[in-house]
Amino acid sequence: MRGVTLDSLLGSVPDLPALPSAVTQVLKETASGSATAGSVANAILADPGISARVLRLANSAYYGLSREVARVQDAVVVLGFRTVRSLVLVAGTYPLLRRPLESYRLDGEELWRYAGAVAIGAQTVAAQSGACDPDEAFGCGLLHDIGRIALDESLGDRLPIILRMTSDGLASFDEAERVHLGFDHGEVGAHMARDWNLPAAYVAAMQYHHRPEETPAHSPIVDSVHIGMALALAMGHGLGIDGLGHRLSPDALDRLRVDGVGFERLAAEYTHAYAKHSNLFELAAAA
Amino acid sequence: MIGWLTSGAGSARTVGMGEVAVARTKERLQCIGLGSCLAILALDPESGRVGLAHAVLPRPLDPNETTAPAKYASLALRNLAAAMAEEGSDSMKLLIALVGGAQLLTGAMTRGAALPQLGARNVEEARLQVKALGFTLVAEDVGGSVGRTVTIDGESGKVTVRTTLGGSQVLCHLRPEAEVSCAA
Repeated sequence: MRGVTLDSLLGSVPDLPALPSAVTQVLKETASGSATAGSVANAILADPGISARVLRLANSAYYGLSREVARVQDAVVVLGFRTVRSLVLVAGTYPLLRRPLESYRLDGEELWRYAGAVAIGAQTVAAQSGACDPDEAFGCGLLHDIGRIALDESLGDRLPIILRMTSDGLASFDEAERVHLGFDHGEVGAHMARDWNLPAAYVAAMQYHHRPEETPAHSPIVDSVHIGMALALAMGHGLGIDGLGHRLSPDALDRLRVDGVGFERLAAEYTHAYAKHSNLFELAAAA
Repeated sequence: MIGWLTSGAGSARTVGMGEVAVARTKERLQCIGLGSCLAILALDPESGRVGLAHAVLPRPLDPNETTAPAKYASLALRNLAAAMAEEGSDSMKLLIALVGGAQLLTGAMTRGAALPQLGARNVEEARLQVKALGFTLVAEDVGGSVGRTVTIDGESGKVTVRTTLGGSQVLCHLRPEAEVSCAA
């Protein structure tokens, strides 16, 4: 496997997921500064599947609207750009993230639930630290592990040696991936994110969520996703074959001024936030 | 938290984060997908009653917080004992097992003790409570960086721990008259 390039790996994966272009269009539009309810709605309406799911979610008990919205444009007006952006991300990524990952031992829709748990974690960290936009942290957390989907099939024959390295405590799971594959799932995800024209913050979060200290320009978003991921794993979400076999970065904690007590406080906040928001991901799966 | 950790779990009743539960006759109780959380398993040898608490955090930072009975390890055992006493147990003589309390790696790249140790702190608080309440700690499977699912059989007191790579292992039988094979 060593020597296989990212391009050849991604070219060899059948049925490689694609992010719906409506998602990137909505991200682009809402960040433009010149967006209107009409322009955001048009970006959503370009994808009928996402439009229908957005409407179902907007009218769900989660948002508790006083009256039903019948048009996407009305949903944009009533919920606002930021909420709709998160809603589009949830609606648009469910078909990608719902798949089971055999090698990583994430069965059923566990990857989806884990992605939601990290999104909520990153959002919580960003909100509590005030270091970056919680909504952007939410989106980056949701998509951070997308590279695992592409890597899952290729991991199979290298798994025993990767596991031997991690079970001996010699390396974290992503370090073992880099040693035995030449790259890790974060780099695979970043490659996919660039192909999808996702914003730079998303690319960085995908590439460096396990090693935020290596981010070329230190990013509070990456730090938030990293700590959000740690909270999600600590609470038992997404415990696949790698378990909690990942490093917690002291640099990320320092930059966001999170000490031991602060981490416990974040964990307490996270349990509240997860109880409040995880229903959105269950609803998206049912919508 | 469904996935691999639930496969083969059968009809056991799941005890969610922060909850305590007392087993009905012949019922099995389980905690699924424990990361840093800690399962506190208890058996009253006199009544044969079995209970389980799913602790999430070490202790409340706000002492006035009203919370779920097992959210904090510092309170979970006391509340579990109270729930078992309500069911007629002699809560002065509980036999205890602890499972979970894992955490992310703190290796060479990290600063060790300066890092948050949520799992270890949960275990530490629970051990303190076992001692303070005069109960007997029979077995532990704690720490490391593996996710665990634990099941206790209300009839036999058998505690089984399942991990992704290790499969299912019997940790111990909390009921004294049963075959004892504890791995404390």
